[in-house]
Amino acid sequence: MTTLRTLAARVVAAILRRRIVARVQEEIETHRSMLVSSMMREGMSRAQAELAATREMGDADAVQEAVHEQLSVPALDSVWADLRYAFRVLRRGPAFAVMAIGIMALGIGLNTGIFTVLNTVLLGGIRAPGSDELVAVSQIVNGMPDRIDKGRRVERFSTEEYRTYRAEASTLSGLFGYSRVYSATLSGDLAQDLSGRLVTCAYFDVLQQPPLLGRSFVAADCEAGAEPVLLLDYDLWVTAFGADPGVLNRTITLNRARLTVIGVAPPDVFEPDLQALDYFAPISAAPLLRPDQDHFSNGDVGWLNLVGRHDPGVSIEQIATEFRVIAARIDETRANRLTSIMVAPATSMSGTQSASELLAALSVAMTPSLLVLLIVCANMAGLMLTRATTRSAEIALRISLGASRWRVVRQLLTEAVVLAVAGGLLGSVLAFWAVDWLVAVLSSSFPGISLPLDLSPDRGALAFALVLSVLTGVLCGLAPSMSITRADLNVGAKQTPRGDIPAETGRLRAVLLGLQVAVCVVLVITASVFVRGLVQARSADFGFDYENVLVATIDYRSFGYDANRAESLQRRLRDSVLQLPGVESAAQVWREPLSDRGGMISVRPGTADVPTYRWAWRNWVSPDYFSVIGTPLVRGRTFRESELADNSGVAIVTNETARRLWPGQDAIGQRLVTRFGSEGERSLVVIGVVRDAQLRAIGEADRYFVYLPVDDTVRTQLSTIIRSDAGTGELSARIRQIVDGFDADLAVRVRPLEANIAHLQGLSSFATGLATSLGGLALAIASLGRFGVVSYTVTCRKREIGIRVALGASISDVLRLILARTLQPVAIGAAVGVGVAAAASRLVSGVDVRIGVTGLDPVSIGGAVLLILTVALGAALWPARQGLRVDPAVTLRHE
Amino acid sequence: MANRKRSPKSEVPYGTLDLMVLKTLDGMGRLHGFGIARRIEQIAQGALALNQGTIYPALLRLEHRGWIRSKWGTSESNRRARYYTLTSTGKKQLAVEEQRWADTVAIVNRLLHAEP
Repeated sequence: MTTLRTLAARVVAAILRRRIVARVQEEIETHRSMLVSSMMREGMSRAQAELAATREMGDADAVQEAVHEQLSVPALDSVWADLRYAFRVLRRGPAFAVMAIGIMALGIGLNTGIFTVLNTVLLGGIRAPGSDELVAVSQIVNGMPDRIDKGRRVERFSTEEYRTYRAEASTLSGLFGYSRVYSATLSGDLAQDLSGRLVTCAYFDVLQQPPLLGRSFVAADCEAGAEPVLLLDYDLWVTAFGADPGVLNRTITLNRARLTVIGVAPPDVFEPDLQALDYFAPISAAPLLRPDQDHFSNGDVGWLNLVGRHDPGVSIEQIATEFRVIAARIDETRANRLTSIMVAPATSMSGTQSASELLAALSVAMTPSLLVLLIVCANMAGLMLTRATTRSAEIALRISLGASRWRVVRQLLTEAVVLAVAGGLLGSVLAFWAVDWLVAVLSSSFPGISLPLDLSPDRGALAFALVLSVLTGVLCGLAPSMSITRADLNVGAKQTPRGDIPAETGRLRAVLLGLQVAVCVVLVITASVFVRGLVQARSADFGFDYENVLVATIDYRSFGYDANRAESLQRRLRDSVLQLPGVESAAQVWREPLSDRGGMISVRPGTADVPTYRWAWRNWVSPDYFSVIGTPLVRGRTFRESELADNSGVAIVTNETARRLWPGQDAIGQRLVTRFGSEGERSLVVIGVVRDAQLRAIGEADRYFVYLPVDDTVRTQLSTIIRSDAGTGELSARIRQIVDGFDADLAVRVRPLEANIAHLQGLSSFATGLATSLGGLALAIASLGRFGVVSYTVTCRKREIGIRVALGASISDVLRLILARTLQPVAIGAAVGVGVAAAASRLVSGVDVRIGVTGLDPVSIGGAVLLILTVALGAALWPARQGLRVDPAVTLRHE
Repeated sequence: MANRKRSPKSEVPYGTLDLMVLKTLDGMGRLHGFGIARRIEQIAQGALALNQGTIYPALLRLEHRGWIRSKWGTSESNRRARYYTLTSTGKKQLAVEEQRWADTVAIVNRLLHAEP
């Protein structure tokens, strides 16, 4: 133990060598001067004292040498010898080396690639010039119960607070703030929903990312009542405005506000939290875009995230100290107010500020690829073991000649690490090349995410690859080399490579095989769950007819509409649309099927003795909704016009809901009690039952779903859905005309219902692609390794097999013998894998994935296990048969 | 460990410096290098010619073994100095070393006083 400790301390010391030498030098100097002054106190002159002290200290060179010797690691010299020997051994078996490096490259490359993406995307700094000078400032305000924006773990800053910090903070050369995402509807020919952020006027200047075109904001733009202006995002400028430079000084209408385009942001501009943006507007535009909640002038609203730039040489601590002083002054203006300030290097995700969420995302994304690496490790360990067994004669010889076990283990470890590092290098090259492709796939699968345009390998990723390689090498090499050096030396020296395999290594080999099978089972089950989801997403009957349905949405609240006004427009729109040729029916709905938003409520049957609530989805619909959407009523009736008012007390449920709440009874006329936070309990009468449908996620009908008649609480959030066999383009134009005729300022967004399904199907394809690639990769690596190991075993046991065949055993008897060794670990591994997959699926079952992933099912499990058993047996059977084709007589004579 | 170089020439018996340092720290608590050297010479009452520089490689060695630990501090004369303390493993080791020394002395004594 002490030896290990000393060795570890020495390795650390070797790394810190220069610092320790300097430290000891300083100690000796201090010692000398203490000696000198103590001698001078005893009456010596300085010169005498200096001389005496030098004598007392002894031979300085010898001391230096002793220190250096203490700091050197004795093992270091022989590492070089180990390395040279490892290279020589690997050159002698190039086939093994190539295969090992290839497998390692896959495992390490995969992890490096995913790590690179995660590291730069999630944890990386803001991609702007001199981004290491950018810091994110956040705060927690206590003692202000009325402050809006409470409940967030980290609160944002009010306009006033931002201005105070900006004016007073001298440690920063610049400070800007940005709001959450403001959705706004663009009116006119280009009508569409846009996402943007309101930013303070120094945004582009502090980021040092000047506009591509036009000018950036100036201080006056951020004053109350300023002339409304905005900058377009590069992508929107290209897609919607055809990259027309003439867009400058044009006026566009967002919600009701008219804003002048003064510039176009550069393509690589910082978009906080990776959310893709369409526009940037100054903070003064807040009351224009949302007249109902003016965050700009309300001093009690925290709504700005702050990012500052500091000069080189200013520390984060200095900035935090200054901000705390300013915060204390702000606190004095209000009784009880107490602010805590946090300053940290700004990252692309600073706005979310939730480290644990990021960590969770990271670990979810890294887990499958780390599992593949685990298979690679187990596989490599198996191969190393196999190879080490062939070399057991050499090893036994070295040990009997006096090499310590540790020395031999170190030699084998060096070989493993050399292979792993070579594989890691190759893998990293592959990874850096594949990262661009991965980012492209991610960007196209998740259109709302803004990813940096280029991801070049950085030092972090390289360090990660290197550390991972060395760890993998040690992990792969340790077990086999320990096991092989523990095996009985006499047997080794005398028999192998021709004789049987020592029991010790046989057991380790079985464990390694079982481990690979278990991990494969987990990955393949996951993949098959996704595949099943995808198949359902493509082919399922959703329970409603999504073709030929358009959804028209108006954000009434942004335009300052109240329920009455919204209702009259909705009535007008519906009546006019029904006059159009080709239109069959129209209705209002709160959230259309497979929308990405929805709401839940607690429900229970009114008759229950013990009230047990369940979560149900709820939606508000108008009477015609079910005929528009093509979901027939199974029993009862739909709502009446007269019931479209608050507290009408009626509800419609789905078949499945009825079956679950009132098993074996007629649901019509039953009482349904609902509970929703502020609304309290309500008792409703069920008047209708509709067919089940997949309304929230594709792949599974919702278990509990309750429809309520539309009322004033949701009036301003309703969409109009229209069934029509007229073309989408023509109908959208007509709808726009109708809305224009009612109120020229309004913007309406029209899109086919099919778009919701396409979006979910895209998501499903991406997840399935990822899961199946990883599962397939794992299976390929594992079977490749199995193949190699069985081939080797058969070669090893040729003599035994030859004798058996000569004594009359049939080929199938011998095959059964060989397969028995494979079957047991495979069966145990598969069972463990199924158990782990089941446990894991329980963990993730609470997540609303919405892409038809409905947890484990017998088909997925059975299919995965069958596939793996087949592959495992195939990988064993084939080389075994090849090995047995040899004439036993030849084998025996050869001996 | 075969080619360990010999310590710089000294009149301190080979291998006993470690024991002296450990014992000093055990008795005195927290000390800097100068203090340790001073204390050893004081106890030896001039009978020992200690090359005081050799104390530092010894301290480094003991620290690597985990028997002592060190920290920067300020001396009585307001100088920055590194202070050493005994760790709990060091305390145990001291008992072992003391026993070993006693055994060695006993053996040598027996040899010297053995009847011819």
